Amino acid sequence: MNRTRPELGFERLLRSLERDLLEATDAEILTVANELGIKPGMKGSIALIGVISTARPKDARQKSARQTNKVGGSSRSRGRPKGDEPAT
Amino acid sequence: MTEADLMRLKVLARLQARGLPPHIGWSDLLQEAFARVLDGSRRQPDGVPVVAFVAGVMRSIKEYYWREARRGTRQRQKLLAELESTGIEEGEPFDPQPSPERRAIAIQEMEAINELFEDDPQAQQIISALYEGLTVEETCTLCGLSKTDYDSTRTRIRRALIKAGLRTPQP
Repeated sequence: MNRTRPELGFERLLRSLERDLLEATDAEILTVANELGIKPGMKGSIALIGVISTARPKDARQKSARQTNKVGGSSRSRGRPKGDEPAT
Repeated sequence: MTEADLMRLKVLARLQARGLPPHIGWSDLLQEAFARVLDGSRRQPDGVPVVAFVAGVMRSIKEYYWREARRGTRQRQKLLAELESTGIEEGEPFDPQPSPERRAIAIQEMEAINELFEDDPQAQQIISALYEGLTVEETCTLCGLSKTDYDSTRTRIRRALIKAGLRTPQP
């Protein structure tokens, strides 16, 4: 089962998982959020950081920093507001 | 959109971002998709729910980010202009051009996804089958699963992904 090119196999997987997520009910998502102690209705909730706010989420910033270090720096210029919420 | 829809988009963006070039984060992808929708350059087809539409826009943008990364140039504006003429791809995913960087990321992220299910061998089997593009029937036959087992495992996978996508930082 390993003849598939990794990039194609991975995209296939992402597409399938995306469909699953689109089919998830609101109740299912809210239940999982509740299990994590996330309260999306609260002002400034971490649930929606990076979605309805322009603050760059901490994990995205970490990923970029990590990857940038790996490849020796990127000169891509994008405005990145600061002021992320602390991680839970 | 409901709060659940916004969280769904966050989870979808984080999932798609697993296959992004390294210097682009999930919120970049999501905000770019919102921008394309809000400025009218991408129009929601009749009958397509808004979350599915935005997910499709993110997918398209991701391919353009990769194209940009391959070209290694600063042609972002041109590439984003090209985006306006493309539709939302359905069915079999766009076959990515061979790229050592994309291949390395795919392998790395497959490992990360498999780690999410290290205690769930059935989930790992189904993930492998989805990776290979097997049908439900083929997967059940190959893995010795009943359709009920398959469905319940897909539900576990979905819940785990939602959980991973809502956590900060994402596992």
